[in-house]
Amino acid sequence: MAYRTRARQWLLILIAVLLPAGLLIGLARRLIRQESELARTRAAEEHRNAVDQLGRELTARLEAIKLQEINRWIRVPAVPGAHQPPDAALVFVAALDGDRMVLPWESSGVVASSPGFVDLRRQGEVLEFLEKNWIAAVDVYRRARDAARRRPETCEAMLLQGRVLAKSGRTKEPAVIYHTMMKDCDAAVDEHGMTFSLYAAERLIESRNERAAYDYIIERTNRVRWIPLYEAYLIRSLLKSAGGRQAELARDTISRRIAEMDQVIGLTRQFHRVRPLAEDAWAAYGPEPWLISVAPAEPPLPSLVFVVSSEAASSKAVPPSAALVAKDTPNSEPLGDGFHGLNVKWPPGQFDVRAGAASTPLYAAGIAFILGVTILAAYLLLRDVNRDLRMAEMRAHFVASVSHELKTPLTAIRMFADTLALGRARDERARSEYLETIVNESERLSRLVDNVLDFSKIEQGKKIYQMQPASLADVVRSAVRAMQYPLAQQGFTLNVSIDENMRAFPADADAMEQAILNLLSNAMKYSGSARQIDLCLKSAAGEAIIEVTDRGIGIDPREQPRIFEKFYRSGSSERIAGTGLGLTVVEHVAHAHGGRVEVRSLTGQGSTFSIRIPVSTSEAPA
Amino acid sequence: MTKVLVIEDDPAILRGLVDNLKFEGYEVHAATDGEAGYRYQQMHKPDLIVLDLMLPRMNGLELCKKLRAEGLQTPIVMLTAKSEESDRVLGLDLGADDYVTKPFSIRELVA
Repeated sequence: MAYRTRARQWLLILIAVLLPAGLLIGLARRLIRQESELARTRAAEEHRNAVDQLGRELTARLEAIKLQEINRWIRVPAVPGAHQPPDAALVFVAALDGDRMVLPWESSGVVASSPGFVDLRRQGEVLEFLEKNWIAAVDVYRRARDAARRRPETCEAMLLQGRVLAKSGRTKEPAVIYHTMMKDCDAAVDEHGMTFSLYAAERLIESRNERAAYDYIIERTNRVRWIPLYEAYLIRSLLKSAGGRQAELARDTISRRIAEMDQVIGLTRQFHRVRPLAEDAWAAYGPEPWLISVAPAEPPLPSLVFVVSSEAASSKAVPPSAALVAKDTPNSEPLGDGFHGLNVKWPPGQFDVRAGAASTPLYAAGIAFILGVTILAAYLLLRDVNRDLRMAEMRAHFVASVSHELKTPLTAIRMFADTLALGRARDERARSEYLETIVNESERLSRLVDNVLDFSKIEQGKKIYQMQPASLADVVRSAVRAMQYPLAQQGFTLNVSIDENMRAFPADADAMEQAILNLLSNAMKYSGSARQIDLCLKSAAGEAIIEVTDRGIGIDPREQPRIFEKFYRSGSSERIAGTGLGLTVVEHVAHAHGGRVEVRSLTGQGSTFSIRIPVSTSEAPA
Repeated sequence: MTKVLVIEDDPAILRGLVDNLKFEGYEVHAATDGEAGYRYQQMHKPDLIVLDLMLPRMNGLELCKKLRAEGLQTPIVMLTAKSEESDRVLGLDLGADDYVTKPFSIRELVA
């Protein structure tokens, strides 16, 4: 029976918990897998779209720059303003001379100096360096300055004049000349492309460490977009000794200019390789790539080379943490058609598959919740099933117990009736005892039937208590009388203590007697080898208290809360006949009288049951 | 004289059994629980044991099983209120020789 029940319970758990749980987990795993797959596809699509969009936006921007510059070139070819590209992303536009790029800042060739100037310069140098006649040299250089026909010649003469004046020990006059040069010779360059004003500034710094000279260099560095390489190196060298924030910024600027110029020189040298690529697409060049495109043209217009900063051109199209890089950069990918050697590097995790991972805890929480609910439901179901099973077992046991309890007095009655009928009584005394036994066993039978009937009424909610003024003392005495025979028969001593002053109060006397009889009957059953029972009626704190105390086997503390449950029988009562109804009826009677039943018990030392009924003090004494 | 041991916990039934068996001329010994019954059996070596099924301390089935396990051949008559077929079979399997169901008549018992 127990095995079958257990098996049924496991089957129930399997059906109610494990199967749905397994199905749920399977379903959730499948959902998570699908979600991850979807997220991967979505991320890949997003990635592809981002690359495509970046390519499209960059192409549009580059083509717009190119178109704008072609228009500018057609309108004003070789415009001097080409030194300052109108679009910030445009590095420069160069015309092509065959395969050679003609850079916009390159001088169109060295113009021959005027013969008068050249002569006087030579004379001055002879006087200055060979004859060391600096005063005469000053005069000759002054004449050369007067003879100069172009600004570079004037500036060169001033430079020579300043130099020789300084050699002759003058300090003020050279400074005046150099200051003038910084203002007037800014656009005049020598055969190396170096501006004369910078030579003047250099001398002012070397001789007097003049702040104005530093200021001029810083201003020029910030103003001029393309500084020839020699000049850039000189500026960097001069700025090393300059102090202040502006000088620091200018040093950074000049370093960038030098790097750019290096890149320009590199491009110029590599142009024959870059050109084929740049003719059909934008070709990347350099570590921070410039994008190069060649626009061929029919003479007389020259073919043009457009050099655009990829970083500046893509500033709006590329997310801040992404970058356009050269094709060999690790963790980058090609930008696609329309570009050669240009890659994009996305920030780490930009297109990671996040959706699946994000929803996994959600699904896990959902599953945990549903599992929790399922397990709770299964637990409640199992508990109910167990309770029902236990109740069914207790009912079955109850039927057997009632049968046993009924048959025991019946057996005695029948046996003694048979004995009398067969004339087996030894004498009159025995006959009288047999008759008395029949009567007492009949009463025992009646009590049992009353208990069962009372219980049945309680179960159906039909038990009606006839509350009439009653003396509990009388009720207790009546119960004692009823139990005299069985007590005496089993050798019990009953110590009765009754508070005779207790007032009468409304009660169902029969029900109260039934409750006392049940307690006494239990005390006898569970006395073990002890043969002493106390019955006490007393009042305390506005309560009438009926106490029945035995000195028997006691009740395990763990079982005490359950002993009033219907059909419940404690483990220690297995070998003791009983129906499991007695205490249920006692408790119901106590509750019906507004009272309660208390139990105090120690295993092996006996138990005390107390029926406590609240008593109104206004009632008349019994 | 034939000795009969009656082991029954209900005092009224025990009294009736003892009186009737004495009336039949048996020497009757009585015990009210399983352990006491076992001691009586060891002491008096009865020729017949009338054994109630539901007893304190050691129930009738356990006692019957124990006695048979010790090789006791004395006839045992089981006496119980239980009438389920399974109880009877179990009792007989454990070594009881007969089975009387409560409530029984005196004639049925002494037969």
